Amino acid sequence: MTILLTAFTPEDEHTSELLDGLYKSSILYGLSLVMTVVIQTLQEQLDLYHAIFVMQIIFSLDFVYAYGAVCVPFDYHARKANGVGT
Amino acid sequence: MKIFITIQTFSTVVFTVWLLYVWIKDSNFGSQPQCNHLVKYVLLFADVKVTMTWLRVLFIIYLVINACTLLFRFGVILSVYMENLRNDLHDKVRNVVTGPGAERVEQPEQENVRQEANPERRVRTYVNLSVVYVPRTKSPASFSNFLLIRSAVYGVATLELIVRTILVVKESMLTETPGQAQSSEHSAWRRRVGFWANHRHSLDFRECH
Repeated sequence: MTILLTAFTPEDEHTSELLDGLYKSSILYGLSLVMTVVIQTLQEQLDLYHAIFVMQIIFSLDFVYAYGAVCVPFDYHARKANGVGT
Repeated sequence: MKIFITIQTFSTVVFTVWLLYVWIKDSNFGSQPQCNHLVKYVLLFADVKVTMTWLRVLFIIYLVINACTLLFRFGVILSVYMENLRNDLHDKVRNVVTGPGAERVEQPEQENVRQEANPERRVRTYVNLSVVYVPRTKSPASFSNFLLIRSAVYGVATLELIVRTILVVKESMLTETPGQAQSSEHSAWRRRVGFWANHRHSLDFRECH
C-alpha cells in the first residue's frame, strides 16, 4: 500500500508532506520487519520460504527509500515553517 | 529527520548481515531444513530452486558488493560531516578574531553558501542510494512505470501458480496416492495437459506445511 501510494502521488508542493510521511513510515515498517525476522531467526522459528518472502518485501521498500531521497528535500517543511529558502 | 536516517542505516546494516547469514546457511536454514529444497523461484515457467549453488553464490556476491558500497557511502557521509564541523570551527574562530560586529555582516553570506551546498541533502541521498543502486527517479510517472512492469511480472507468476495449483488438485483427485499406478482416465488427462503435467511436482506440498 505504501509503494502504491508513493507511485500514484504526484510530486508537488502540496503533496511533499504526504510523500515525506510515506517515506518515514516505510523506514519504520522496514525496521520493524527486520527486527522481527532477526528475532524469529534467533529463536529458530523462521523457515526459508518466509525469509525469502521478507527479503522481497524489503527489496521493494528500498525503492521507496531511494524515491523518497530524491523527491522530498531534506528538512523541507522545517525550512518552510521557519521561512528559510522561500 | 536525522533519527530516521540513523534508523534506516541501522536497519540496512542488520538486514544485510541477516541476509548474508540466510544465503550462507540456505539449505540448513530455519525451522524446517528438510523442506528448503521445495522453495523455488518461479521465473516465467522455469523453476529455480533457491538451494541451487549458483543462485546462492550470485546472491552472496551481490550482498558483498552491496556491503562494500555501504562502507564507501558511509565514508562519504563521514567526510561531509567532518567538512561541516571544520566550517563551523572556522566560523567560530573567525568570529572570535574579528569580533561580534563583523559577525552580522558575514553571517548571511555563509548561510547562503550552506544552503547551496545543502550537505544534509547530500548525506541523505548517499544513505538512501547506499541501500540499493536505483536509477534516479525524477518523476512519479517513471516510478509508476516501474511499478506497472513489476506488477505485470508478479501478475504472470501468480497466474501461473494458480493454474498449477488447480492442476495439482485435479491430479490428486484422480490419484489417491502419489505412488499409485495410473488409471486410464489419469493417463488421458496427463496427455491432454501435456507441458503442465511435467511440472506437477513443483507444487508438491504434501511433505511440508
